[in-house]
Amino acid sequence: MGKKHKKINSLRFFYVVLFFFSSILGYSQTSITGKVSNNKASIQGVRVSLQKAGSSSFLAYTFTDETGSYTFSNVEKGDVTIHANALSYQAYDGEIKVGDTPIVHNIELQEGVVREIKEVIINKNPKFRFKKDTIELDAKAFARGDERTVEDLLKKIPGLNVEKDGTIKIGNKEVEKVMIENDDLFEKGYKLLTQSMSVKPIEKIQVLQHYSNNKHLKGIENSDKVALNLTLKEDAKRQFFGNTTLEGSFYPESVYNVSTNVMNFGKKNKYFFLGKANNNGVDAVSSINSLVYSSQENEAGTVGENIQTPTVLDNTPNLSNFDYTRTNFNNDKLLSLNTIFNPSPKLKIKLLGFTNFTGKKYFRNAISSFTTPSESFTNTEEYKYKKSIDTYFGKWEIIYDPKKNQTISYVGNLGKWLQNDRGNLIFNEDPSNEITDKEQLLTNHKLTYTNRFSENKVWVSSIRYISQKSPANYSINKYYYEDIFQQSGNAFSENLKNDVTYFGAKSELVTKIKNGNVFQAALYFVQQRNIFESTMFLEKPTGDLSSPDGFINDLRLTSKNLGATSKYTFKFSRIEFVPELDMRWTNTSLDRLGEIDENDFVLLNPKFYTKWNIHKKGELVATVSYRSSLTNILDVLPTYYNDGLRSFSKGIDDMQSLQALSSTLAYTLGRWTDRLYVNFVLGMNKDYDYLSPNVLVQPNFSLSQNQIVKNRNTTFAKTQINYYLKFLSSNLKINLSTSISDFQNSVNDEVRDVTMKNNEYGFELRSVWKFWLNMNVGTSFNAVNYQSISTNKVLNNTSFIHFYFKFSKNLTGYYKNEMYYFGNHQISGKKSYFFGDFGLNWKVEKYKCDLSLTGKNLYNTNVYRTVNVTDYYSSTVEYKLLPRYVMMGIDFNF
Amino acid sequence: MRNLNILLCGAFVFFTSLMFSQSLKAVYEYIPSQYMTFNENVYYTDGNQISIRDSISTKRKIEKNDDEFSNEIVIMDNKSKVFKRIIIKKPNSKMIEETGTLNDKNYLLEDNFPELHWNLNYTEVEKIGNYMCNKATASYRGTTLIAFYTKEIPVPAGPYKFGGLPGLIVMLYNDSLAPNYWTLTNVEYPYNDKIPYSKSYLEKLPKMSLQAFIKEGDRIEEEEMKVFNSKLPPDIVIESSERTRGTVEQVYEWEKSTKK
Repeated sequence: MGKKHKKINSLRFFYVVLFFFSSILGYSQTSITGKVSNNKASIQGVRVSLQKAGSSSFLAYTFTDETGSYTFSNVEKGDVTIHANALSYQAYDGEIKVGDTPIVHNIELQEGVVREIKEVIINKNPKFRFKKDTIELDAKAFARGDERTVEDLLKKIPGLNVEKDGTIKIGNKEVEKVMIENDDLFEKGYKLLTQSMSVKPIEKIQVLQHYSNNKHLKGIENSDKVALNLTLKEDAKRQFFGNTTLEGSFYPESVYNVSTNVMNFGKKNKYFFLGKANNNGVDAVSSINSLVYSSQENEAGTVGENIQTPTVLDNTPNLSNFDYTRTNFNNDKLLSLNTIFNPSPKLKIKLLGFTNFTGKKYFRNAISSFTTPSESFTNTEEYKYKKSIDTYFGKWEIIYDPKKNQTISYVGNLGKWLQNDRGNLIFNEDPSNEITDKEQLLTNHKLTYTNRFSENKVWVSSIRYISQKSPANYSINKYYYEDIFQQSGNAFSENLKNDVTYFGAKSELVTKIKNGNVFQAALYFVQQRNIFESTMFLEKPTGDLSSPDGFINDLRLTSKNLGATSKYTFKFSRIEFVPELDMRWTNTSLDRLGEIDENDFVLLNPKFYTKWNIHKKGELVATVSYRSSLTNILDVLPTYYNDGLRSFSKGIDDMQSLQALSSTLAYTLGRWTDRLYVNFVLGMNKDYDYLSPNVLVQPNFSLSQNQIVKNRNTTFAKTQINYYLKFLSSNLKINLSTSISDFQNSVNDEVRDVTMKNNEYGFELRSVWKFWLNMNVGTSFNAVNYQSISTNKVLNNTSFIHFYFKFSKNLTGYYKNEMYYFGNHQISGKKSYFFGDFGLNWKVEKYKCDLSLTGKNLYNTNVYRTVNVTDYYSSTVEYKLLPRYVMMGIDFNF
Repeated sequence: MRNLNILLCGAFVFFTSLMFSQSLKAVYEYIPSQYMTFNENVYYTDGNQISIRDSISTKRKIEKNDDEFSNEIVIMDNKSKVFKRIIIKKPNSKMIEETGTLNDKNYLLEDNFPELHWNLNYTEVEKIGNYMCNKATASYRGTTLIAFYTKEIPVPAGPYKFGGLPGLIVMLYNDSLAPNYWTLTNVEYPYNDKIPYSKSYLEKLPKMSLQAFIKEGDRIEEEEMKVFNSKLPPDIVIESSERTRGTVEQVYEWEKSTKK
């Protein structure tokens, strides 16, 4: 490009003389100096650079100063080329032989055409684009030294919230997955990994924002999803490593928790083996469920999420706001083997396998009081449950990229569950035995094809097949149902068939229009068939079995749906609108023993969302949606089936569409860093049609029949006020919420208007002190009030005080106190329950292990009793609790 | 163009021994977080680098559906009064003058800027936009800068306080917990307009050292973090006192003794 110039300047000789002495002292290095000029005028800001002959990289470079001078000191001997470049001048290239003597090399630049640069660089380099949505965190920076598992580490990262059950959230949004070296093993079942994998090999945690499960949708859909990726230290790759935890106590009772995992994450293949056994109440297997029914809601182009058979004959304790491990007398064993193979860059194969053997026991005593104008009685139940659940589950996935912009993926699974429940029951002082046997066979297959056929357009299509069979058999060796069947007997049993088969296909186009506006449109076809069969048997006093007439269900519900959805996201400066419409035509066929009833429905589901940043610190979000849904198989059962002790239900024997309107308005003032931060939500739901039970309550049974009722109204308001108290270095949080619901039901053939009021109020104070102690204290009241012919009410209170200690860098602990109180009702007995738990963790750096001491239920509270009310009954349910224990543990890595 | 020629002639008449230099204007997109993008205009003439960063993000601060997310990740955006950020770097001086805002008040700060020792020993070549770029790295205030510069524009300028490479910086980010990105979006040479800032305004501003300014800013932010942490639900234990700065600077020279 440039011509070579070699002008000998008279000055050069002068400089040579000037630097002569210093050259005597020079070793094998010397200096090059000079001036850059044009027509004797020196030029400032010229880049002068040295390169090895034949190389393009710089040995050294500098820019000329205001006198046009440049200096290179310590230049090594040899041949170098020297270059001078400046905008508006022609480039200069020269050659210098560097010897022992300092060199003066002046350069005369020739004026060039003033090179005008007026250009726009649009950065389309995907490498950097991708990086923008990734926050990379150095594990070392957050590790405090006392963490064992990945979960412990994640807890320490500000902005990441790890909940009690291991759910990881960023803000209120659960992460999609936790990957290792960009490979995802467990999807939403990531707790298996985060709760057991050692923190030791982790190098970096990458938070992937605006994450798309489908990589081709990246940058097109407005994703609010987040995923985590863990990268490993170099020495951890390709070698097997793991960790083992041993915890146990032998007095007063033997409690243990053992877990071990071994893994290897090579570049091509990854392996993760996990084994667990415990009896401390913690479900080893809880996270498998999120793998079995992995739901990717709002995922473009996918169908058939959350399809499963309805749950029947379920006696799992339902204690909200209470630590389930306190009532869970368990014995869990879990073994899991998982691998990922990457045979070529275009192909990935994933195999997961689990077996789990769980034994559980519950001890439950309930006293229920029914009050209706025609009937008033009290029942007592004393239950001892023994459950065993065997799980066998396998899942496989093949992902293939035929081209850069296309992916074909297939995911399938196969699972089998065997469940056996034995209940020893004393019902109103009459002992009996209950047996429930359940089996479940599930298979689920999905094939997806994605094509990003242009920069801003993606087309995703998928088909899915699901088959689930959940038969159940129930029997009890006592007979309470003479009034129903008009026959005498000794025992009762029931066989249930409960199947679903599903086929769905969906094709969706996602288009990104300018300014982040996104248009989505999809077409889908879904066919679903549910089968529900129930047959009841009475054992007559003679020992014969008979099946009472009129109590057999043999129902097939088939629905064929053809639908379209579209969604548009508009953004203006401070306002955003998202209108959405789902429109579908459904043909249903109800087949009751060959008597077929067909119906056609057109269902419209419009939804509107808007967000407005009203002022600097305030934001208003409003949603309005209209919902049309169809009754499901249990809603339409023509005759009664038995759903456990004394409970019979049936449906409306007809397909109906149910209409509802709901709207919410939410206002937020301030943000988390402001001393004052307030949330306020106002909402309204109106069900134009809804299913309400018509209940016939008798001491020995209840018959519940669904009916369609018009107009149920629910209004609710909720607010949370946060204020930071400087003098206490603590935040005061006040929670207030109220809801009123008006609806109708029928009890013993009497139609009742019911008003249910639910009020909650409470406060919390949380300290952020700088010393070794911190504290969190709070209380919350919940008043439930049912008004109908009579009034039933209850006032519950939960209070807690937690202390957190940090005695030293390696020694941390907590002490938690909780109190539950049930009051303001007519039921006598103990009303308050106290719990105390503590934990201590000592990291022994020298031996690379952790020692722990955990204490649970320190006050040795042996039962816990909750009070529930509805408009026609109130009940107390009492659970036996795991006794006090103190457990010692050790955790070490290998 | 004619005006320019007259100007050039004038320059030759009066400064025969020194060439008149042309200015270069480079526009960078500065992306401190995914929520914000600012335009940063850099004017470079003879070793003088003046960087002026817009006060209002060109990108909407919060993307759709990020509302929940943003409530919790601390974003210091323009919820308070904002000023343009002006940085003035002079040749042969370690001191950089810059403006900074504390509690809605603007100050003129003096930064004793540490010298950047760029490592050019990378063979990586990236084509970014129209330019072939070379990689260079330097450690800077607790983080590592990764720069891609182009030899095609032999001007040692760059975004923010950075520069000193053999060519104009096209892209720069720091390999740290929360990277800050600068990407070149536009170059203009020669640039003949005025540099849009008022010297007299800067002179009137109250003066402060960068160290005092950062310390005060940290104190305010720490207070905000405490307020934030105190709002967390009971089962979330705050165990980390480690905090990363949202800026490119992570650890200042004067903090080295206290932090490991």
